[in-house]
Amino acid sequence: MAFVAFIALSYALDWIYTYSYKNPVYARDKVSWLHDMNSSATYDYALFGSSRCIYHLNPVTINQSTGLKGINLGYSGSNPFEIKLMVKKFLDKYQPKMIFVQLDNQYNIEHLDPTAITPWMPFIKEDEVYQEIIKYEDKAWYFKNIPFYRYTQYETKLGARNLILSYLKSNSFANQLGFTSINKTINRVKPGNYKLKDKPNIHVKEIEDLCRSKGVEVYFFTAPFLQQKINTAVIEKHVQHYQDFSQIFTQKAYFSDPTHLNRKGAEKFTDIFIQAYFD
Amino acid sequence: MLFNSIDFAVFLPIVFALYWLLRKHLRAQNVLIALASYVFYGWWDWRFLFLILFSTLVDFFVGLQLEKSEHPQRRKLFLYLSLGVNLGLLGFFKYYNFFIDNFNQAFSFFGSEVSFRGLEIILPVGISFYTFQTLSYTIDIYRRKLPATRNFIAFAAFVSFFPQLVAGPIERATQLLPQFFKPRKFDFDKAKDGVMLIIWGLFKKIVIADNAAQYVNDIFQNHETYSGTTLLLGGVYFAFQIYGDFSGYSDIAIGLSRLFGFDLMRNFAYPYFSRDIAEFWRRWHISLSTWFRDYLYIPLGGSRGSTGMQVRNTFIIFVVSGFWHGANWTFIVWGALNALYFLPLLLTKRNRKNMDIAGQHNKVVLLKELGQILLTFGLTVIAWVFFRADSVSQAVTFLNGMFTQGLGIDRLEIERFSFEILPLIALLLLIEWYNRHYEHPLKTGRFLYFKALFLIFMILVWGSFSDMQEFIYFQF
Repeated sequence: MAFVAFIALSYALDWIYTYSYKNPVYARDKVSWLHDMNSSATYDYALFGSSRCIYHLNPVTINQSTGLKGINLGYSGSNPFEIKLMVKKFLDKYQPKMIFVQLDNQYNIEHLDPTAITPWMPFIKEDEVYQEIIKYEDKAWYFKNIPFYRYTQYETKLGARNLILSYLKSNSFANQLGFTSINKTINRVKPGNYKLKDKPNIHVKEIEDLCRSKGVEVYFFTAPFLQQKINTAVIEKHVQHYQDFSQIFTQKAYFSDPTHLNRKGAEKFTDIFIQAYFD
Repeated sequence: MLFNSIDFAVFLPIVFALYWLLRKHLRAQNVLIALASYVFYGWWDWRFLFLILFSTLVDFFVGLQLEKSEHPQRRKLFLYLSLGVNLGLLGFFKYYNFFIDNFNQAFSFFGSEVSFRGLEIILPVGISFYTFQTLSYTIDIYRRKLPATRNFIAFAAFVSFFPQLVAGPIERATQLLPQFFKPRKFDFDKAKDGVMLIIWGLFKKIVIADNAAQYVNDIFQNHETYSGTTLLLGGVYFAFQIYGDFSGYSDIAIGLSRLFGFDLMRNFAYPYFSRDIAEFWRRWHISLSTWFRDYLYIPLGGSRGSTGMQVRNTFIIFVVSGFWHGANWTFIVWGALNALYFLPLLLTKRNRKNMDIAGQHNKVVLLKELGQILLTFGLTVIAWVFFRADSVSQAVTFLNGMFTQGLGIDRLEIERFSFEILPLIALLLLIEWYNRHYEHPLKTGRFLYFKALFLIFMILVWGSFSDMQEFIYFQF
């Protein structure tokens, strides 16, 4: 009897959590947000990447300058694998003219990121998502088939606290088309040097193939760093339509840390981005 | 193997099913317990098994010799052998580097440079617990309170009994060992009570302790940048972290034992409702307190003799208890601080004043008792800061910060406000207060299954699973 009650409770909680994350009042993450967006909307372009995409490009500014409607779907920690999932989900729903993908020192990473995969857990029962995750996550079968297990294992981002917040607290990105800004300026910089291995990334390749099959143009770029060297020639060698912005800024005033622009830097970079792609 | 792990969730049903299939074969049941316990223990590191086997063999042999011999000197010699081997192993694995470091520092303080090198020693999990348990066996045989066993399997099962092997309760041989010789029948009510205790223990561990741990780690790590209010909360949270962690483990251990037909001693009795420190120590880690009382305090003279002797004995027992917890001055200061708290009660002979349960009288008394409870809790929080801190100086800075870093609500590095966990702690206190007359909150009463289901719901929804913490007391 107690065991049956436990199983019933697990199923009920699983359903409540999944429903809430798929139909949020205030989406807690970009995947949930994209899932919940009106599918009749149209977008001219979309931006994908990690936090170096979210904090760096403001679609509202682009819209004001060019009249093009876009969306920033970058989210923290995502590597090419998670970016690919996001691109797929977006292209399943919308038909933009072009997409932009931010690549940098994560270019060589092909496994999934244990943190960045979190927002995908409510969607793991979708076959396409499951088939991708099972390739890299041993526990994927358990996440899919044991009720509520995924929510206990990812409770810091998908737990009760976030569930409650999804009904109460608005997020910082929805009213800026996915862009979020940082309002601090860096004090001290520790120079760095990222060395990429000369080999193509399978997920990036898949993104290119998918866009080609759907007739969507895909552009890759590297966002600005502060005093961080990176051999972007590797990326340039393996992808088409690539542009390197990594060394365009040397002023501390534009950065919140060596890898992230602050609000001022983001506005400046967005202007440069507009000139590069939309003028 | 952690109680709150998938490995254990697989291990337990297998052992449970096999155990009750063998219900007509007592010896086979004991073999199974011993083997299962070795698998459980070896899961951490198989090398630890040699250590526990060695202790078991030595004490089994010493027990037989102690019983056989009538010669006082010879008996004493065998007792010293057991004490030497067990405390020697404990001393080597747990305290060797501490003594070497302090020895080197002491010489450099006096201007001489010596540099004895420490060793890279892995501390075997739970060594302090099973060492004390086996010592109780040889000491009790020496005192002629217990006959030596000739059944090695039963003895090995007693020493390594997996529910309480790594963090207690520290069982007396007189209480636990005889249970390995009695046929055990499956008792549904006992098993049900065991399951209820396990649920309650998991709630305290996964919901209270592991959630509190995230706040505590953050606050102690960044204590210089947070307000005094946050530091105070950090101290309070640690008090509940260690309580939830350790008493949660004990409850799970006792509950598991009941599933296998064994009775273990109670280890916690709502300690944070104590009205003075003496009562607190009668309610906190009871198996260790009574162990020290029986095997150290009373042999030292206990509360007999002059006031000076009593004060000395009190300090010895608390400082040794602190040192038992770990090889760090912080634990010694923690023990000494508790002795200081205890002293006024001892000197005014009020240390046995509060023998009943708080809040049993009229409302005026209740208010007074609540004041006493708060004061006692405040004193324990100060002591817990030393227990948690990495060094004595960090503890002093932390306590100083509580009073000098002002009031305020902080958003912590873990991206949560410092007060967010308070409702969970309030829930724990509420449940405990209304059930303080019972051994545990799921012992009896109306809506028992509903209460259990509510706790399961809380574990699933508010449990901290992703950042699964080892039980703190494993390191001791």
